[in-house]
Amino acid sequence: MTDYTRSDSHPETLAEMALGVLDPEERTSVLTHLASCPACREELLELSAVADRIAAQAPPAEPPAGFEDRVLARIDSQILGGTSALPRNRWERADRRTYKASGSRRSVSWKHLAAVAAAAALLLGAGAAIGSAATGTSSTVASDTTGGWSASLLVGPSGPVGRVFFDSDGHPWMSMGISASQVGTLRCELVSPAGKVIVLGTFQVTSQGGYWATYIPVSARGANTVRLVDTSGKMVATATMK
Amino acid sequence: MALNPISARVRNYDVRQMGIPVSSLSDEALLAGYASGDRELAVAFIRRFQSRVYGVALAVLGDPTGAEDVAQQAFERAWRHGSTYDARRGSVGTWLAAITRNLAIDTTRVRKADPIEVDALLAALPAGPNEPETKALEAESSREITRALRLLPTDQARAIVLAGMLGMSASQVAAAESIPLGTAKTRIRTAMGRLRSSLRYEHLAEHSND
Repeated sequence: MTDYTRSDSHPETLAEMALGVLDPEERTSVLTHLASCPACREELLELSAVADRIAAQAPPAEPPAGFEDRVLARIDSQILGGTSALPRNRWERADRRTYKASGSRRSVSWKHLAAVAAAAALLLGAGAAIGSAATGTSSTVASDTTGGWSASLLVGPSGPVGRVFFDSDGHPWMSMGISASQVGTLRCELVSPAGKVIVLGTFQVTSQGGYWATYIPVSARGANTVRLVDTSGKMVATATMK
Repeated sequence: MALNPISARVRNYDVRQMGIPVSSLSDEALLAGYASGDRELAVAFIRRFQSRVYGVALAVLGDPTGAEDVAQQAFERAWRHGSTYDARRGSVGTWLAAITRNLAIDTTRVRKADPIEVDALLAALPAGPNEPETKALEAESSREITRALRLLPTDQARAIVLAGMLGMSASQVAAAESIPLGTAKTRIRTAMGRLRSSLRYEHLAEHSND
């Protein structure tokens, strides 16, 4: 695999394919080969990762003024024009949400931001931002029965160290904040009731605390326990999701 | 970097109300907010990445108007497909760059060769992303790839800049460099193989120090 001098039976154009510069005819030929060659598929994946990093080295350049407004208008037109397969309420306008957030209709984005806000508040030691302050006796500190979100305490050996927020609407995702008592790299795992462990990723906790958010893969559906593990494998905190 | 006026406008709300500046949110958290439909986080997301996205589009297209259209398309695509982003495959910035490059290449197949531009791009390589929001991890990733590019023989590095940053096909590289098509293809293939090996070595070296 490391030898880039390939035999005749494998295409020599995987690098061009990865860079996205192969002409359509050659691309079709490579795709046909890839369908039956796992080694070339793996090589293409590796070369694509290299190609992506090369593309990212292009010198930054500031776009003309007002660029972000035009991007937002473009997305607005996709939603309002009905050409998007996404729910129309996906894009919640800031002004509408600001004035209606306390009403009965909470948008998805409002919930997301509430979760982010609560996690952020934790970093400042501001306490619970959603629902009632946790006492440590119940791990779930708040939930929204009309939507799909809930908040739970992350509990370490000597008590609560943070909170985790879980949103099951649409593409399930979770965010968490943890205090500076656990400085270093932490691995986040989800554990199903049957004991199946899914590693979601790692994040850093600094002297300012740590905040992390991630989507939850389909393979983790049904998992109800969040575990944070340090680099030595020691479990430093856990939370139970509703 | 200039003061972001958006921060002042939204400071009285939610995350900002608690004194957490948007700029302290991770790239992944911002992307999640953008893709899920939060307008303030969307503005912050676009502002954080717009110069890099526009830069990639401009490198391929060489035309400010076309580059803006492609950059807009790239952000629209990121909004639609934000949930497919996989952090294990690279940073948010790299993911956006790849989206932008592919859109830009699809937009034009008739990019004119400009050898002076290649020299300028090669000379600019060591800088890498230097915005305050850039994460240390991404900066390290950028250093790795620029270091690996600099280890390539000049003719191969030029071929990679022409194909990888300017989006030229092998035949366009051949025309730009006044070399046979087969030579252009060999340079691209050999250089990509070397870059992959260098990055894999760096990755192994990094982990052996753990």
